[in-house]
Amino acid sequence: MGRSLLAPDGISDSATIAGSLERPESFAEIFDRHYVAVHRYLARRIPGAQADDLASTTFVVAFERRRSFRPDSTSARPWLLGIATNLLHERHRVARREQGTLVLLNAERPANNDSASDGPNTDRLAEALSTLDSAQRDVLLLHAWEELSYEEIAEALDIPIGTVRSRLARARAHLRSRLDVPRAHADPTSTRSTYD
Amino acid sequence: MTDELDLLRRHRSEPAPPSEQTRAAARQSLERAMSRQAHTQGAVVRRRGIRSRRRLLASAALAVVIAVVAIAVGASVHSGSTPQPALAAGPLLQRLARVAAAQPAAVPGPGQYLYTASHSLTGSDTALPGGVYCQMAFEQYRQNWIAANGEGLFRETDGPAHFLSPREAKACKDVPAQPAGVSNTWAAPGCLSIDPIPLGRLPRDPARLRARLLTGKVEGGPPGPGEAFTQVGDLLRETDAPPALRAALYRAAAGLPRVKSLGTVTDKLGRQGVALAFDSHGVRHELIFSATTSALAAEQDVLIGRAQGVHAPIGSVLEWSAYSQSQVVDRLPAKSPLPLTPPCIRGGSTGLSVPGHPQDGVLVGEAALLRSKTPAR
Repeated sequence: MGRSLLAPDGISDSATIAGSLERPESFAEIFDRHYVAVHRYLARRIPGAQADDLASTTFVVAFERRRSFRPDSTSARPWLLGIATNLLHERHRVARREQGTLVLLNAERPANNDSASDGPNTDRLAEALSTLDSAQRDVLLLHAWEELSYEEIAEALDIPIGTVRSRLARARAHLRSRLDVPRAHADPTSTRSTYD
Repeated sequence: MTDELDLLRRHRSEPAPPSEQTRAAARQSLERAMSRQAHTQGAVVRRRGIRSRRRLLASAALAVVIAVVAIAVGASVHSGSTPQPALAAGPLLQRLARVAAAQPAAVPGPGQYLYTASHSLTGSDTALPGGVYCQMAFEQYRQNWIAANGEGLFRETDGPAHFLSPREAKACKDVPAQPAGVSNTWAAPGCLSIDPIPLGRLPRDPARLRARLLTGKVEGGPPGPGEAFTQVGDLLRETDAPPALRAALYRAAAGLPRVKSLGTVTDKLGRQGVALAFDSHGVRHELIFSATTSALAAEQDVLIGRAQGVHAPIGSVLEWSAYSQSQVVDRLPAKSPLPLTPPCIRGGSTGLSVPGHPQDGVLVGEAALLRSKTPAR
């Protein structure tokens, strides 16, 4: 996806987080590098003020849990998005609003569309997403919207990569059935996995 | 053929980026958490701000080396600064550029050190149980000796804590006291750097330099005039920037939006200088220069309006630093009591305590952890 593994100062996220164990304030570099991406992810899923709040909390929690960051991970972004995802669910659990507002869609007709103009409207897509199992929805959105690889999603959600594949396959099948979308050829995620 | 992933991507919303105020508030929350932990570890956490930001390279470093502040606080500790009428900054910056270009270079040669000394007042914000925050500020006298190869010494003398009010003093009574007296931290080659970034690659053409500052491509950070103004300060503060670059920095700053001149001001050490300012989120960031040498003589943050998390009278000086000396010297004032090996490589350093002198330490390469019997700090 073309993301640099090193920050502008040439120090990797992994080295920065390792250094923050002895020099806590250096963790601010992680904030500077990833805050906008984390905020954007949350703002796609919950209204702005809540996204502001959770994005802030994500970094405080990440700082407190930074010992759990895998030293072989080069980018902290998947790890941070995983923490943000957990906080999303925690918030909804507390608010007893498990379903409903977990995704904010672009309601405008997509630009440069071809067959999408004949596709489902925003309401149908929102309905399809809202009836999706939350674990599958997380995998689907991290893949489709945040462009994380299977390995990165596995790292973010702390699940085996096979589980990522199977959840993604099921999520896609669910969307297809709800939206009457024909199955694409050579779909690498459509094979049911035995891992989950 | 459009599949369900394509459809989903096409309906992906592109939310507006967070406002600078939202970002600052989030960063402040993180800084509070970092400060709390640093206090738990027996250190004071410094804010990335008024002082050098990347002087100390990479990871694990001595707490005493990096000490400093969390949030803008301190406020009423030093109040009474009167807001000045703003003037166009261009003529002043052009004058400073001419003076800078005529100054001799001060670059340490092999075996030499750039010696700098400064006074400062820096705020500290500590989280206490129950969600209460204790705000105080510390005076500090600091001396740096840094060689071109990254070897050197920090010597810091902490002064007493200042409180906003008797109430704050009471709220802060459970905060561990900072160790008093002088602390020394020697650093192995590669562990320090005189400049925040390698200066050789920066353009001397003011327009190109300004463009790079504004796009955040010098030190990183968000693009915009506020960050560019901050980076001008970073590149002039206790660095060995050559005269041509200093002149280019002043000329680049002359074209930055919202930078203004405050005319002649007096710094906290009673010295007169000429000041530039940039206002952001209720705080005026002032850089004060010597009119005769163009050197950055002092800087301060002054409260000029409502600022999140700051409860102090308008006009209060939240933090300040005054730079009193900068010269090339041939030796350190004291030899390190521990061997300064291994050197630091990029991204790896660690601090070791000096036995019998708990306030002193050395900064060496991370490989020292594999062989050292001295406890890491």
